[in-house]
Amino acid sequence: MAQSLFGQLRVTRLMALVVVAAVLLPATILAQQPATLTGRVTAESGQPLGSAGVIIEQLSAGAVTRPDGSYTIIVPGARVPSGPVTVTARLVGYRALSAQVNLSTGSAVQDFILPDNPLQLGEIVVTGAGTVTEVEKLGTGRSSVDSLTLIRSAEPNVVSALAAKAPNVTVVSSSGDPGASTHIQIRGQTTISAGSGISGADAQPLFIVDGVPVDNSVSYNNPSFTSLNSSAAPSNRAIDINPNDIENVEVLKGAASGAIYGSRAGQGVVIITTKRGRPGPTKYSLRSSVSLDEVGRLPEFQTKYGLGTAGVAPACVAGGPVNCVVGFAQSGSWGPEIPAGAPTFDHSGEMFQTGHTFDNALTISGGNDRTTFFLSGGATNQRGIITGNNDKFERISVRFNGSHRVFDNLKVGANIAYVDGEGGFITSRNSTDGLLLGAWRSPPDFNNEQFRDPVFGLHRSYRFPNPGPGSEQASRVYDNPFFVANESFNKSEVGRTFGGVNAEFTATPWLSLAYTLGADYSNDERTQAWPWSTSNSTVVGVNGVGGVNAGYVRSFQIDHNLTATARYRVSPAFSGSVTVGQNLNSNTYQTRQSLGTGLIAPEPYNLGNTSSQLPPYDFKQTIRLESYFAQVSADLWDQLFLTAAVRNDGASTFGADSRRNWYPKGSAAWTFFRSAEGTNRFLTYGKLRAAYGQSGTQPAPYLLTSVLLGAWNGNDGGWGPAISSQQNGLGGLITGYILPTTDLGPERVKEFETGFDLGLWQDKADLGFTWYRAISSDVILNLPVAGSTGYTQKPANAATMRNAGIEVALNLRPVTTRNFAWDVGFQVATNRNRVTDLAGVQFVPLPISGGTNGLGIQGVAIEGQPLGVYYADDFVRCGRGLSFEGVDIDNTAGHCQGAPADALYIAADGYPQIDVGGTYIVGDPEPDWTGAVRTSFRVNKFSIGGLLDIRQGGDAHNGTKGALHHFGTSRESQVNRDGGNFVFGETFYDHEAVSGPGVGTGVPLGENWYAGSGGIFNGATSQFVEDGSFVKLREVSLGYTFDQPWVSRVLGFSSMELRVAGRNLHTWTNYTGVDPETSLLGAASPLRGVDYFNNPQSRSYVFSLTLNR
Amino acid sequence: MRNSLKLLLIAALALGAAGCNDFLSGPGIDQDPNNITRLTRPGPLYVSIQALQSVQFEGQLARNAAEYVQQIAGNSRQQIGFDLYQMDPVTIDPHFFSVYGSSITVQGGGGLLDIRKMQQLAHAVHDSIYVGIGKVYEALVIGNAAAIWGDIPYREAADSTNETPAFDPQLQVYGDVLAQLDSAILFLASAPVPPNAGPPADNSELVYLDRGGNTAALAAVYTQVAHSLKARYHMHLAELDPANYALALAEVPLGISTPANDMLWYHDQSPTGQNVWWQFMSARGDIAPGAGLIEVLKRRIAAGVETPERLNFYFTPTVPGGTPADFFGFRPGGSVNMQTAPGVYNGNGSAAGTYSGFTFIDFNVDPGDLRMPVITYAETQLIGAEAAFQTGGQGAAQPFLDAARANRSYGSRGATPNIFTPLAPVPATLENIMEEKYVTLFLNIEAWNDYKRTCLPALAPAPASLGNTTPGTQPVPGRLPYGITEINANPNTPNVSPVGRNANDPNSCPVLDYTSSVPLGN
Repeated sequence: MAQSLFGQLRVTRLMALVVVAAVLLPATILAQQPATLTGRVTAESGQPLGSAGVIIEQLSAGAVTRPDGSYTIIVPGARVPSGPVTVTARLVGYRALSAQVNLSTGSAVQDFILPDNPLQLGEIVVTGAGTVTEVEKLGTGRSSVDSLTLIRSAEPNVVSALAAKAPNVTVVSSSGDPGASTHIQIRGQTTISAGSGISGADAQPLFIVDGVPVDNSVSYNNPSFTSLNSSAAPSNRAIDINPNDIENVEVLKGAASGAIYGSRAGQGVVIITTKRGRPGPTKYSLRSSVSLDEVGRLPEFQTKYGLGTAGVAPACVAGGPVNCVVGFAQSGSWGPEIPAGAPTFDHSGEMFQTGHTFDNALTISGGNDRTTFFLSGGATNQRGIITGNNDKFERISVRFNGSHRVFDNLKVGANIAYVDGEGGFITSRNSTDGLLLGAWRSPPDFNNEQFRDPVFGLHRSYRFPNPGPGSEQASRVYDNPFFVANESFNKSEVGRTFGGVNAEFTATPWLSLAYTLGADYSNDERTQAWPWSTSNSTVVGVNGVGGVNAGYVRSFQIDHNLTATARYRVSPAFSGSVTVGQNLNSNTYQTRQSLGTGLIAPEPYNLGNTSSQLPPYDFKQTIRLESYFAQVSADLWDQLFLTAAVRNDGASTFGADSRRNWYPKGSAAWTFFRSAEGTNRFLTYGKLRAAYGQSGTQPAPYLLTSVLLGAWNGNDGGWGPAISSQQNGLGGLITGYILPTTDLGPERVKEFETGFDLGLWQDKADLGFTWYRAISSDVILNLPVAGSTGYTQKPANAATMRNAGIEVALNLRPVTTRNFAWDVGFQVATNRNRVTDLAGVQFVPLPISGGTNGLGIQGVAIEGQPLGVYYADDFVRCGRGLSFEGVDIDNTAGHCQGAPADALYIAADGYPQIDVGGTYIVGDPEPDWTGAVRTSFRVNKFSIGGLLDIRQGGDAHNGTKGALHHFGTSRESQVNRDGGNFVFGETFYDHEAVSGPGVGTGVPLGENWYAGSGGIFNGATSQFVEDGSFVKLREVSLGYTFDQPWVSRVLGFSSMELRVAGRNLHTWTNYTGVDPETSLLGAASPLRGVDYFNNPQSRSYVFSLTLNR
Repeated sequence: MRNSLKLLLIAALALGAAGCNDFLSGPGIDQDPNNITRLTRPGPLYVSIQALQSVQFEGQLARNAAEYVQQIAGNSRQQIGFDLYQMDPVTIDPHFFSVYGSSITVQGGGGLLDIRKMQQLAHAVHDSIYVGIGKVYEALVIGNAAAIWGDIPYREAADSTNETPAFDPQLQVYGDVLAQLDSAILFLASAPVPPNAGPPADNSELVYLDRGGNTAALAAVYTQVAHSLKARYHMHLAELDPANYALALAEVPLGISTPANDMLWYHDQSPTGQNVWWQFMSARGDIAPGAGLIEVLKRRIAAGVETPERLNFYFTPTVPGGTPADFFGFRPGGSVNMQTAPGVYNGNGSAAGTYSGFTFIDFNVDPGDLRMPVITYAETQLIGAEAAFQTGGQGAAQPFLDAARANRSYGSRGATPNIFTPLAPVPATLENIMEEKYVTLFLNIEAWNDYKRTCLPALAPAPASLGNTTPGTQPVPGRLPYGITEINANPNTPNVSPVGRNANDPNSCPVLDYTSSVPLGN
């Protein structure tokens, strides 16, 4: 229905446009000789300005300046007018200037010296759904990232490239793997569980490219076959956007700016505008870069003790009995001391290599007075930092952006991109067939690099060191990391087309119409293979015998957006515009995947080579939106700018009783000061702004129907075993776990923001300040339902939540001369989140946070707390009303009586004790503040820049350390094993206040401690929560531009830029794990900072060459 | 002006087209295109009940029970803590709600909600056999839950209109369950009404697959299961009210009459059919043979009370082909050097420090098609023995114990039963009866219920913490905590000690005196 409806609509529209077009005659043009206009555009400092646009508006002619600032416009004789024309030069960051030029003489020269305009006053800003405004009229704070900034970050994933670019836009890459997903959060999280529910773009902003919504979801492989945190982590789909194509990114941060997108804007909106051609000579640009990537921080390991327990090695060691298995109890490195001279291995870093990324982008753009085009081709080929051939990301993309002015009042255009992507991902995280889990638990004297045994050529791991005949299809308990890197693979092959066609029609001087019909189609073919002898224990039926999961994830979105804008002018002091619009959107997500288990022969990884196949996973969802919106703006006395808008959304996901919803917004911007040109004053520009708006988040579809579920694999509390509801050829059904609900409406975010923008010292500095407060109400909760109802959750518009914060951006440009310029920018942001009402429920786990999933930690919503606090078990502490071994410790002398609250209780044996029944808030991943410092120098043709990314506060859970302690491979566990006795509260855990009968007792910290209370499996989860503050040297770059005449003469290019850059070069942090910037589930979950054998981040050295003509 | 009119026309067309009423609703749009919303026959639910509830009886609940009675020991990760009595509401959560329903984390299914729906659908098609079978499973699942948690929601449970079901007193639940079984027996005895005459018309039987869909045979065998379950539940109530011994004894002759009628979970060798113990060993391997059971078996073999057959079937010796002396089990939590009474094994493994492994549940040994017992002829006879002993003394008990020892088996591999050679009679003392039951009900939750009632075999409690070599002072737990979701969302959840005692089991077992020189049960 969707397609036929849209098809019908499109045909109707286009036919009508053609009819209208035919009625209108093009303007009559008189014949004459051609005219040439030349000149040079420079900044006030004298620096030539390349890439500036010089346009003769009335002739639709123009050019783009070369790197030396020069330009040439040739006007065809037929179009040369007899009188003077207005020529305008403009460049982002400079004030546009116009001049009157007479072309009738055949040639003319016009130079422009553009004044700096760091506040970008007068620049057009895209504000969404077809609306635009000018910077000074914005009633909200603006966060904009330009093309150069994106490209210089050299990140293949545009979302990663936004890191530290705008205050309160928090970006976290899940790992340094090629194509790893990146999570973006704007002004904190406004939702707990919402989103489409399936595609995984939950709690992620809406992405718009050239006016068309695009998919940025993260789709894990078949959720019914595997647990999320033990499968490979796929990409977020915004990775399909070639950063080289992007002209500008506008971030609509809150409801006050995003209300125009109604029920899709609850988490903010990222509006991407791609480059387009400009009239003038055809320009070519070729950018080639190579990046060397290496692993970032790694934990420290011990090399003193070998495999075993209690100082004794098991019988099953390398060279021992064939096909023996090292039992879990013997699988730590708590064995005997490794003899001097015996080889030990660097299990921390041995499986990493220097990866590389080749990125080539060619763009060709240009046009004439009627037609412009932009063509680009990009090829990115990334080999990751993990050894073997399976850690990779490749992207080939082409884009065509074109427009043609059919008549003077009708312009049609198209923006279309095709992307072919391929990602290869290495299984990581909480998985016995993951890379680091097996690697970092290996004893130091086991040679992992020899991952096949020399006699039979079979996969060997330290838990299964001597494979022999009969073990070809036996699990290795943990996979050898080199086997993981070389033999198992997870592939995602994406074909994607996105873009749209558009038309702009100026019906009368005061009325214009704009239409966009956009589509985004992607097909992601997935293959995940588990070879023979795989240790995977979470995917049903592949353990040892191997298997293949194959299928596709398909997404199709079609979007129709029609707006009509009327401009009015009541008096010189009162003008404005009225926009009305309609938006129709249909978004379909479909996946079909099959799991075949038991490879018949070791290869190929094909479903036909499997001995049994599980019922396929087959899922489809369609979400429809039918919306109308209107916006009115009023400009008063050229200093007070008022805007009001309202959107009415109908959504298929809303219950029948809440089918349509209103989202209003209103804003005021008052330019209270604007100095006259050249006046020398401290304050050169001042604007006060305030805005209020509402936006929403839709519920997941199909929540209102009670269903029976088939092909169910009921598992045993998440610990591996699962039984299918289909047995012996009979299909079984169970009742779905969602308690049938009668109605669901949107989540609503109501935001008020206010602030000011100042230009200071003749625009040598600018300062922006914003304060906001957003209330999320009707937040959809999967309310936990008492299991005794037969259901375990019920979706309801139940919770409320608050986000409030400030954002400050200060930019200084102390020196700007022709040959030297220095600027520095600071940004600081805070966001405070509080869950204010949780419908009486004690806590709600974040969706797909993995539950506890054996890690013992989960992110939850708890009333009165920031969203996502860590909830886990803890040691017995004072002041909690606890009893220990029958003693009421708080009220018993010699125990906790008189002790500070939360003092660690030390039992008579000298050790802290696990609080078995309790669950506590043990950490908060939300930072106190985030910030960035950016600076750049330009000395002649050299430019140097740097970016520091700062996060202060915010916890991270270092579960990896807890496991390494348990296994005795961490350096700390060995040092303490050898360190004699320790006293809790004094020489160990010295940051803790202690109380209890065992205070002061010296105790050893060996295997009993680390494999017991001091480790991840049997110890208090809370002890691995650490401060995740960091300062990261995010980017450093040094470039030199050659634009001397010889460049053109010798190379045939007008300029050449060489650049050396570093990314993520260093991290200063007290976090003891790999990197506090991590997330177990990538962008698929709002759970932050949980580290459990996550693949590490990488640092990169990038060399790039850009040729322009 | 003319152009403007045309424009308005276009806009009107576009808006009109969008006014299509079914743009926002219809199949696949606001109706779920992926799942079944309508069902008319009970069979698909019955398949899931048989398949998925096996997880409840072979998964963590059974591991906890077997750890508490020291048939197994946790030697890795979370299982270490569990057999040190550290079970928390978060961990137990999925196992509590699986009694009733399922969750997004793919746990549960085939619980009370589905069992009741199955009965409703069976009623609707006049299928009395399926109604009766449904009631038997309801009694099995709910009775097991009542034994583990005590007071549980039952009468108001599994009802989408009541989000906070009341917790029924445990004794009331037992009463209701016994009534369900009586009702089941009546339904199974009544002739199915044509045309929907029971299993042959909707053959979804897995547990008694060998009955070939024969309605009468199924009705007969499930009637026996119902009586055996009645006997089991009367025993659960006997500590509180000894009158139940006679009631249990009365059910025994009507209960499972031969090992061929044993109720065994359906398992095959397919990846998602394998028994959960085997799958757990394959995926996690966090448990080891328990010193308790191994020592009891070794002592019985040494005393000539039984042969090494069962020991070898359950466990592997530390040296290939070893004698019973070469079997070593773990103490709770894998605690070595544990202080024990003289002659009682302290959990240090063999001289080489090695321990026994499992035979049929070790994934390296057998492919997992072992069909685990739910309730059996042997259990029925041993209930008879204990009930008869309590009501009529050793002489009355003797024939039941003899029958159990003469007909020894343990589940089946596929269709092949595992049968042990008959054993000669031994005196039907309570110790001998309960030991026979303890070694027979390997990995069965019922072994824990027996211990709670009789405190046999005598067990040294787990130490207070890992690495502690002194037996703890806390008795073996009498119950498990409620799940966190229930605590979180149902204000009716009783606030009771997570390891306290249930109403049917008021007396904890004695914490043994380790200074005694008398060798204790293990």
